[in-house]
Amino acid sequence: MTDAFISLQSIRKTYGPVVAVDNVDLDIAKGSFFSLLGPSGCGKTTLLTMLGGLDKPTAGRIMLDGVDVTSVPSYRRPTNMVFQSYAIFPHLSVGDNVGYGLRRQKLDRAEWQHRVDAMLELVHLKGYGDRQPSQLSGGQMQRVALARALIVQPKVLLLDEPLSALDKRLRQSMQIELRAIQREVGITFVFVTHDQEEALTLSDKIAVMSKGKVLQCCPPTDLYDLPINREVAEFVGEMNLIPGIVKGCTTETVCISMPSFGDQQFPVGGRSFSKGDKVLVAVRPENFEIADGPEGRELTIVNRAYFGTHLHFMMTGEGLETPLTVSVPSAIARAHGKAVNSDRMTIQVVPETAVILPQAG
Amino acid sequence: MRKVRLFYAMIYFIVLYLPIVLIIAFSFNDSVYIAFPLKEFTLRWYQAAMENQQLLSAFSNSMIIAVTTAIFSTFSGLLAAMATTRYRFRGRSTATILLFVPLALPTVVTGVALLSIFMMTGLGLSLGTVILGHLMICTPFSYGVLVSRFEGLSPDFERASMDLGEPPLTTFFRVTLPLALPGLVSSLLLTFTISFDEFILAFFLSSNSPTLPVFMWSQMRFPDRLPLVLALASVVIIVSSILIVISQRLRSKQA
Ligand SMILES: Nc1ncnc2c1ncn2[C@@H]1O[C@H](COP(=O)(O)OP(=O)(O)OP(=O)(O)O)[C@@H](O)[C@H]1O
Ligand SMILES: [Mg+2]
Repeated sequence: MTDAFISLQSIRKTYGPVVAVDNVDLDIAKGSFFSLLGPSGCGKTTLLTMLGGLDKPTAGRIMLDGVDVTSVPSYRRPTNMVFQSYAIFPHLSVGDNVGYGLRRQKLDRAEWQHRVDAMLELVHLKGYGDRQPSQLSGGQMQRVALARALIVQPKVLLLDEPLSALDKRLRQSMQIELRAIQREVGITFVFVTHDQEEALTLSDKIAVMSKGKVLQCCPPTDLYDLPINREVAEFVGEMNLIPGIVKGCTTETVCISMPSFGDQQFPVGGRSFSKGDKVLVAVRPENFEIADGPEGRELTIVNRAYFGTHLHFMMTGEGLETPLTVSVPSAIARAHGKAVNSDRMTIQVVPETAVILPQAG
Repeated sequence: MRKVRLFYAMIYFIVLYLPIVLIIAFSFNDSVYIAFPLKEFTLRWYQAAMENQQLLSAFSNSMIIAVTTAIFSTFSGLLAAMATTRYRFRGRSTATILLFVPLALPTVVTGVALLSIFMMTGLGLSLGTVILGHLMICTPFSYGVLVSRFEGLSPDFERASMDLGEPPLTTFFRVTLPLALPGLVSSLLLTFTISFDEFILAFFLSSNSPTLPVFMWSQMRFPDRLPLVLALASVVIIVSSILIVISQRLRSKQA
């Protein structure tokens, strides 16, 4: 994978005793929307500023479009950043902010104005050029920051949680716009967020980070359906983890004995197990079925909540450390009216949708 | 309790400002004696001041010293403030403390020390030596004003500028300087005022080219010139107050 557009090789960054980024290897494809997802303090910003040349890695190499840019300063890198704080220059008008990076191109006034206007139009701020930054709303500031970074036509746009300061509705509409703009300009976007939903909807590929390390890097669907370990499973979406022990294994299926659900066969899915392994059967809330078959188990409903399209249940039972979260589509819940409204309900795991994870880590 | 506090505040301000009011009042009084009751209103002391050659040369000395001091102390204060807020280096906190130490020394001690150094090295005394002395006491003030400005400014602005292709030097001129401008003006006004009003160091270091405060002090030996000194003092008081008010306004506005 050395032909990747951006390649981070064994990148490490320490601040005294603090390891902010710990031996990260990442490849990012050209023209893709790539997200760095992780909890606060996991090193996302540090990784992004190293990509932009604003911080130097303690060790490792950064390749961009076939060039080693590790020690190229930010003002000579073909990357631009949208800061978490936006960093709109308060002493310049909106137009001068957007055109800030054009000075080195020595354009004449008309050409400069033309470029700035075109960029303002792209971010739906036509006619805002003469305003002062203090007159802008949060969403508008964010667009100015985006326009200012895009106008110099970088090879890579780095975005540090640009939507986190916006309210939910504005955030959703900006997400759609951001994705549309990315398609329009065709520039590689590296997007930092701690909001997993945002990462799942926007990205072509997501790297999940924790404590300076990249845990998993894959397309959003894989991340949701096939998390590689407990941490990723719990961070992305809601996940029930049911403890169990491997009883036997063939090339196709693995038999797991769960105190709560009894013995059940699961597809191996390319992993290897040996008898006696302690595992976790990871099941999304929507991947349970209401059933009365032999695989089903009767559990106690401790709580139910109605979410319009879905009905959520908290259920406990023998052999379960924490209550299970079960989500049933409203239509199906209506069909099982009696079971749903009683104190106990029989449910079963759909084996094809479950992921078997090692119990440790 | 409220009344007591109000009374206390009144007393405080009266004690603080009464002498100043008296100085201004007597500067318009048509008598060489500083005594009540006040006589006729007159501008003749101001006129006399305008015609006094020694006074005018002292005034120009003071202007030269204050302007130069303001510019250089603001410049070094700016560099120091940028260094301690924008960069992390070994001994950063020690440097911050050392910048303020000159303020803690009694000015007389500083004056004597500088005088002996200048005499010992054969540098002699001139306007330049007064400027050097004033730089010592003004730079900490510049630093203080500018550091508070820089601490309130996110380093992201400069980082954004560099990210947009401007090397450190142009970033300084296009972003750092304009953003620090209110602090710079405030520092210039403040250090100008301090230098213009300073007496002790100027007295030690000015030799035969006195500054305005030194000139005023020398005139005190002649009782009949007292009203002239008062007229001069009134002018200085009013100009200094205006500069300080502007400087404070700029400092509070920037936040
Ligand atoms: N300049 C610095 N000096 C010392 N430690 C730092 C510095 N910058 C970051 N760190 C540390 O490095 C770690 C990673 O920080 P970073 O800002 O990259 O996290 P993040 O993932 O962006 O978090 P958030 O979501 O809160 O923005 C943190 O533990 C932080 O305390
Ligand atoms: Mg961050």
